[in-house]
Amino acid sequence: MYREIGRKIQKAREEAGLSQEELAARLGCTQAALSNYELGKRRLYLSQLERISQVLGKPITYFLETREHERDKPAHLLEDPLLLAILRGAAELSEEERRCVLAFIEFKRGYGR
Amino acid sequence: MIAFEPTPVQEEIRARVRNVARDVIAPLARELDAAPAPDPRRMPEVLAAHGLTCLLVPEEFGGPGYDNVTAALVLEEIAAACAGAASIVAATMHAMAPLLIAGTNAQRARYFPLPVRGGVAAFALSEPRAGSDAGALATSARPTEGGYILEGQKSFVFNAGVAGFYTVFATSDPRKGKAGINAYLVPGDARGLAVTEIHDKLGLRTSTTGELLLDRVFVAADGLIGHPGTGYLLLTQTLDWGRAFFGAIGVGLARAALEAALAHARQREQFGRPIIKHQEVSFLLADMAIRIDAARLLVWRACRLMDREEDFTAASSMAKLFASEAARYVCGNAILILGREGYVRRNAVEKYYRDAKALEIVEGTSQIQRMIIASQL
Repeated sequence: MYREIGRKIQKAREEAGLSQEELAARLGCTQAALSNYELGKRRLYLSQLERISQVLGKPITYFLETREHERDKPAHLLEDPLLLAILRGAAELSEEERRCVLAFIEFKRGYGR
Repeated sequence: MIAFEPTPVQEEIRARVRNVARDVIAPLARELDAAPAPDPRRMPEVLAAHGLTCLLVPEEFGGPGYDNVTAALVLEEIAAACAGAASIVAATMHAMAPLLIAGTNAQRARYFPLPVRGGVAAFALSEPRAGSDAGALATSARPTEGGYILEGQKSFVFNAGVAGFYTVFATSDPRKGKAGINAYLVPGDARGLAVTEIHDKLGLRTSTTGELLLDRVFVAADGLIGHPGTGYLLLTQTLDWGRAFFGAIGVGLARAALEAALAHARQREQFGRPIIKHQEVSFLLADMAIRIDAARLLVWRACRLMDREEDFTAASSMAKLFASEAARYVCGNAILILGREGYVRRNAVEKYYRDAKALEIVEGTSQIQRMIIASQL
């Protein structure tokens, strides 16, 4: 979940035209800390997410309702060129090979929790 | 500044709790641990009578308002007398944490005085099919007129049956995944709430643990903690924070086992001298002491990071993981040093060993701690 929130923070920051340094300065944290939030490597505590939502002018739900929320309507995923490339590549694999890829994805998702 | 010593005020608090732990908690713990069906209310009553269930409750609500380092010092002292008693306190702290993080003033005014008045609370997260994977909760919270209807089952809830209130995690919309999870305040006497006590635990027998059945339990709208959709962040933040306190319990437990082993090693003679004079035993005791000190410093560091509102996730997991493994190591070796005397039910180290095993499971197994630490590297 933290990776998804991080991606949303990065998107909202870029939409606001702010660099990581600029947003970090407004939040009162280091650029390295913000970078780790955006990468989902560091867990956001609720007070920090509230502060980010205030500074970036987004409701807190914007960051929480992630793609997981949109699992049942995945069409938008194809807008991401990387995901599209993965899907195209997977389409050329055997069913067994696809299951291996899926197992790896599940492993990665579990590891990041 | 790096602080390796408690402040004079903390020393005073520690000395007071140490006396209560030795004179009141330890004798009761021995009695309850030996009972076939211990009364689950007795230990919470004793802890509350000495003001030990409300460690973090702010002064404005009648509590002592301890910081996290002081709370860890207190938990170590309680755990040195009985880890089960310390787990009662820790479970209450867990139930309070979401209120400390995101509770409204009205919620705090209603629920904070409870442990001050002598009650305990419970944190209800784990389910039959969701333990380590906290995101897979099945307990539902359906919106209804004026509030929510909670339905589901919670497993291995500390203080179940004696809690004045439960902080229950449930999902309001499974399609939203983790973003659908919320935390709800459920009074202990709520209609539709049923508790089944788990009997015959291996350790922590002085505390009670139970299964919680929520059969269409109504929670008023003001029972929701925090903004809708923030429950997953609340629960991970609470668990990250709480792990250091189970680390403090491990430190206290291990300390008690080392003290018992030391006393025995100084008194017991073999081959014409006390066994502590044999290098094989003294080196074992040295290794036990090193692990306890290292665990304590990890706990203090994590708590200090919390007090300074800095990132504490990895530090807290490291403290819990190291301290719980240290506790098992120290308690196991204490039995070894005591030999046949340590292997019987009447000896305290036997209880320590059983209690230590629980610390490697609760609040995330050792494997989960390693996953969290690795994800933060």
